[in-house]
Amino acid sequence: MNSPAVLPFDELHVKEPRRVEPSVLDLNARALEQLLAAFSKLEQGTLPREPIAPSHAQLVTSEQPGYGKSHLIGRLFRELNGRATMVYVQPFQNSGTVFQSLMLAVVRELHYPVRQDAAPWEPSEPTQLDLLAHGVLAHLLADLVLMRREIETDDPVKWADYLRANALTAFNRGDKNDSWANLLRTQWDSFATLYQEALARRGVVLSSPRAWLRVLLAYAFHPFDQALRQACLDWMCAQPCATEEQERIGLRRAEAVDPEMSAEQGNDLCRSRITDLCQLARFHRPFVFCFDQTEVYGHQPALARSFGMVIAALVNEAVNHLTLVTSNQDPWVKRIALHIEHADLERFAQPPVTLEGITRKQAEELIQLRLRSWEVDAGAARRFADPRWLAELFPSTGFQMGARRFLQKCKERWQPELILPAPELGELYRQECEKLLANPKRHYFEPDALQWVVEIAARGVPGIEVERVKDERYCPVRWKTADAVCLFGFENGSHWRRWQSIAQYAVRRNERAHLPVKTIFFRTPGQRPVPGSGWVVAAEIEEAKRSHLHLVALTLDEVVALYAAKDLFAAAAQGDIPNTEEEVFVFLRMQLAPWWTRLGGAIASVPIVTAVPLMESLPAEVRQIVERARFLSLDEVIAQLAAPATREAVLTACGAIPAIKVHSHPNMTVLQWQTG
Amino acid sequence: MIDEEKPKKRSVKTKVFGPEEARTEVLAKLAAARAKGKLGFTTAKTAAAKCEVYDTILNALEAEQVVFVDRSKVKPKYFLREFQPPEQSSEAVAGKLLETVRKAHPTVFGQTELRKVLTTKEKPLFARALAFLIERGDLHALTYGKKELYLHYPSLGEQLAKPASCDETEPAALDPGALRDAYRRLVAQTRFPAIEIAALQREAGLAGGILRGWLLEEYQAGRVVLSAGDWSLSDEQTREGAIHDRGERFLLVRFHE
Repeated sequence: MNSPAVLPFDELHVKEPRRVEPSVLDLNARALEQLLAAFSKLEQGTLPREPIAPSHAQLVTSEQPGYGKSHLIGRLFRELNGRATMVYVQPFQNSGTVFQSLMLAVVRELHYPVRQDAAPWEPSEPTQLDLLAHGVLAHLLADLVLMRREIETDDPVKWADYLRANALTAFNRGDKNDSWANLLRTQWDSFATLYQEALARRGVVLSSPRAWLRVLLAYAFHPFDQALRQACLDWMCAQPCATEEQERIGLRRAEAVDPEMSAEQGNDLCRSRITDLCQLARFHRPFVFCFDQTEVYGHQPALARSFGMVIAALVNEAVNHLTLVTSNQDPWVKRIALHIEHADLERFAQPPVTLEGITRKQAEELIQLRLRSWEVDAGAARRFADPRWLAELFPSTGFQMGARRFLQKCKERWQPELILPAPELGELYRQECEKLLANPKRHYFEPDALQWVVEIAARGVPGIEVERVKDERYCPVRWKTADAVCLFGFENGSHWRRWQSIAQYAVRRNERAHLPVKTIFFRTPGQRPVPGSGWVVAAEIEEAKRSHLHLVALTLDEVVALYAAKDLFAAAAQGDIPNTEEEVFVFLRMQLAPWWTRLGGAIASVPIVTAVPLMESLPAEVRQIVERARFLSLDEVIAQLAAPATREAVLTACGAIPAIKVHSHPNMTVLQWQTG
Repeated sequence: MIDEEKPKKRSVKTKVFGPEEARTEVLAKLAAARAKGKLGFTTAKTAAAKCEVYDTILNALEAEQVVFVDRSKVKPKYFLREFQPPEQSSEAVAGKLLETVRKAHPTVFGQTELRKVLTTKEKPLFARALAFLIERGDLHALTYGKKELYLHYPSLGEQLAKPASCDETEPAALDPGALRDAYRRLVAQTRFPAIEIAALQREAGLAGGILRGWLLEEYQAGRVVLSAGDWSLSDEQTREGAIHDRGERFLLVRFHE
């Protein structure tokens, strides 16, 4: 019997494309080449590049689930590491705020360390946005140096080349002792017009060039000022920021985001921000937007239509990007494409990129790769890959089967005594929760996931009538119960004026209704508290919170519990689990029952929960234990810790260590150390 | 006279472990193990040369049909032919399944319930036997969501006074060239290389049974690729074109072009 902690074939699905395992090189090599060829058109010329408009979006289809769509994305991300800014976009839920959702995904990606092996909690690591901002500033300054306007140097060509080639080091991230950084900082106002002129000379058309340059400068030159950097990110996402932060960034009043802006206006602003960012990509790297799990759109025609519109808008309006859409063939043809406008469908390249199954030769290679990564000895590996067994599975050279199906066969052969019936939905849900805990990129505020829970998962709950509403300013979803109305809003920002308006709206909304009206907003760990300390309107908001405004402060475990619901549904929609979407809905209605009660009930005096900070030494200790043992169960790690820690805390710590891969299994959770 | 013999050199006789010794040992151990069989003859400490001798002899004994090797598990198990465990044939397992479903008609069975009818040794042959029964038309698969339920098709046919076979048209002969042309026309229409088998059948004007049989052979030979598609999104017409093989059902086909 093989060791229960060695699970080389347990990973059947790719949930996080950046953590994809070593791959069989020629499996789907043609599809990968097609995508790389499409991307290479964006790399023509030297920086700063000319605007390169994409001709089409690339559609990657699979004949059945398990052919490796997400794995292909992972390989593409690996190939383009250092060459592109890659954005993985989760399905959106509100057709009225699709560009806001996309911008949120873009900004989260940009505000993440460049090095794939760097942990997100290392603030000294430059982010992708640091590189972009430094690239823009360095190239513009180089243009000024070359033009010999205002800036005199001994050798303009040499210095311009230096700035272009060493954008990050040239300014030393805004260090006060750095001469180039000082020049940029101290002379900004004098040169501001020249920078904008340089942008115009290069044909870069931005909706608000002065504001963009200010925001990029503030972000790039304040690497350790988290509040200021967050304000820059808020501005990019069309979220208002405090007056004090606006002033520190150097934004004029007209350039700041209006706190009273409607959702529609915010969406339009995000649309122009995205095209602006793609313009700025000429100074750095092209973008790759990857829309995965699109099967989820198949359940809501309006969303499918909006999705098509987003893709068409990117192709039509934005430059320097490759847009990639993945889908299983049948859901795409029979459920999604049907609802997309014909003109929008024309924006997809034809024919689509299609995936292939695995052949025997590739299967043999896959076995060796998996066994090697778990350090299985050569003899056992040879016995496992018995040619007679493989010949039974693959009767001929050209015979193909889905890679996931083959891995399932391997899993059954590796530990036949551990083969259990298909896991129950409760177990699958638990596994989704564990994966989310170990994925720090998914711990942020995701308005689409939260809206999905209260709008889609709550449908069919006895006593709750769910409606999508368009006439409510802040709240797109409404619940009607026997004795109350609940309105749900999804607000990411932390501006006092906006929250004052929301508080007033909550009170006003209640006054003109027959039934009591409760307005509900979610807050996730890491978001600033509402009301903030020192807000003049704090008393007014607190008063509203006591009566009609319910701010649900989610803990990390609660965030994960809600997001996992949507992920479980997405898995069913994609055919990754054997259960139907309807079965998942029935399960979730029961699993989330305490939530229906909590959200639909009276506002309780819920204590404000702030994020529990991760024990500082925990990631380092976990890292040490797993690196030493190579692979061991989660319980074994907990037993070896100096101080007691919960499973959730250890999994969260694992999320901060990219080298640790978490394998959730019905019997145990195994942590594997991955090198290379 | 005493013959003076040259003193003989005393040589140390090393015991050579050759094929003969290995053969004798293997046969003796397997005879002693009887029906229990033996998992192997070497350990991690056995010298590489000796392992090689054992491998050669075991392969030879298997080829001579003196020894039977059970490879259903990762580690092979060896038996003398006379102690070979009774082999479970797919046909026997299929017969057992069919009898259960026939007797219980019109009760329908899921895979879990059907599997329970079989013994532990018969279970590995379940998928093959089920596919065989469906392909032969003895069982009919009904779908409920993503689950599949099975009933005894001839009994249903009798009940409905309807012939069990749906292929009433005179089967046309299959022309691979014409079929490939039909496939290309459909690919040009749909822009996807994987097309529905039912659509191909209509386009080529072939009887379903002939086309499915031919495609299954081509699939085994690696000249076409069959894939599942999405059963839950398919209409009855599309499902009728499905090919069942080794517990899987395929709705789509892609030709290697």
